[in-house]
Amino acid sequence: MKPRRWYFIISVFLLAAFSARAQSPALKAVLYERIVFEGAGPEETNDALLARALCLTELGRWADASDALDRLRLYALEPVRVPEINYLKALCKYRQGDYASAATVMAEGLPDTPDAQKLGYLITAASSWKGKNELLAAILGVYPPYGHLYTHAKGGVPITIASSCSAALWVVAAISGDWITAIVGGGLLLSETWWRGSVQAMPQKAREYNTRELANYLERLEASL
Amino acid sequence: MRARLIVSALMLLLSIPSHAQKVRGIFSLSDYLTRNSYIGHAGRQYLKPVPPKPSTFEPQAFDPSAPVWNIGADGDFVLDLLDRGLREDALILLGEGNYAPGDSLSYLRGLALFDDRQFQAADQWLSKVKGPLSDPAMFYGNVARVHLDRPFDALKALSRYEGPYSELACMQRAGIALMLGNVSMFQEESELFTYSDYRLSESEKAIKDLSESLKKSQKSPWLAAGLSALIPGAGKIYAGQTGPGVASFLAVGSLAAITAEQWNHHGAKDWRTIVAGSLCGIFYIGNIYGSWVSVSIQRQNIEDETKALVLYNISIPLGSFFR
Repeated sequence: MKPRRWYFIISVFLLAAFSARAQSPALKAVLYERIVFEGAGPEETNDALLARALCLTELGRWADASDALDRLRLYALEPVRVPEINYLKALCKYRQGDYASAATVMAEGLPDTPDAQKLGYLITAASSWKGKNELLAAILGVYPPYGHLYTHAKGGVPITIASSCSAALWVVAAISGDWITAIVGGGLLLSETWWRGSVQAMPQKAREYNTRELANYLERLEASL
Repeated sequence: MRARLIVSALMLLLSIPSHAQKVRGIFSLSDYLTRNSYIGHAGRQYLKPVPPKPSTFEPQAFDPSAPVWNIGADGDFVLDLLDRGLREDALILLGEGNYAPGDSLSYLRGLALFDDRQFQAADQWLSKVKGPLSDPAMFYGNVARVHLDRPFDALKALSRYEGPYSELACMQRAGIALMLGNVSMFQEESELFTYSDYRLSESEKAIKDLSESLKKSQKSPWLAAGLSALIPGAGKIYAGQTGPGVASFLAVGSLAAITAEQWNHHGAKDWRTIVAGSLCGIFYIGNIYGSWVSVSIQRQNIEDETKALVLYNISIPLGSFFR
């Protein structure tokens, strides 16, 4: 690498780290990216990408921080730094709600620090959390309002009972004499009330419940640690 | 007997509140219900232009007393950030860096905002560019104006253009003319296509093909309504909405079968025949009205699709020309 380029990279590094104008973490993150653009060596690239990732985590830009960490040149990384990087990667994945990936990174080893231990505990809790089963919710949706009760969608309980029973009563009342009215009309009504309103809606309700409750659970757990 | 009447009324009332804000009358409601049923949802998804983002870009004022950053040295880096999709980073650098005002800065800001779909702000910055960068700024600005539903401003800028990119200008004019339905202007401009420049040939062909397909897709709302009067749902299928057409046919057919059964068992003056017959009539008229509306919906869909395809094809060559 030419000496002029070295001079440039060092000056950009210094600018990013100490410039009064570059105190915003967002601008610092861009200036660290500039070092990579200028073709720095593997070690300097790793330093810049790590510094960029730290700035981005400070801003809550977890996906961008995760991208920066994924671009690290692993062959040029000192083994002693790997747990620290794993911690940042796991943190980014955890904050993005990707608990499975966070658990995979955690399995590769986290540093022995209080923050990492806390994160490890939260990732384990998130991975082992059992939510509502979507298939079971759909099966229970066949018998309104059990699906609604199972997925804690209590607002829908009276509506699903009223509408499904009305449709079923229609079929029962009409089937003795007016079988076209019972089958065709009842089919139309039941498809809207029972099938669409209960059986088909339940997996989505279960997903909504799981997302909401897991977030609440982890928030409470994090506050208590 | 009364229980059934109450159940029918209850079912109808239950369905109305959620749809009431989207419809204008009982016939429209029946059409809305059939269009949004399971079967009604089936069918083709139309390409819609992505709406522009509101502008959030607020650059810091230039401070001559502080160290001045060099936009000449940073230009390639900004373009690299944009090419790699790091638009937010490019905008941060261009907004917070202490760059002296100038054409290059305005152009790069306009370009970054253009890539970030902040077309209003992109147009403002690109309009400031003079000198050698004015040609690319004008072409990017035109696409931004079309995104902002200001195609006539783009045509006005193109009419004054006398630079070296005459075929690109011709292609943009043809695309905008096609979008506006100006057939004579489109023909005039498309006759000048040479298909010889590799940067333009694909887009020129795509725009020409689009004009051919548009010629074939002109439909009559009255014919659609007439067809649906003869066979429920046929008008919608004619308008290209197969799913809603089949749904209308099944809804009207089912209600007609119920009415026929009630008439047969209980007579014409029985309340059950009257309720079923009234519902059947509402859905039948709603189906005719809906078919007439379907042609308008189809025209709107075609307009959206044309706009999306024109925008795509007038944007793509810009990268080959200017980046």
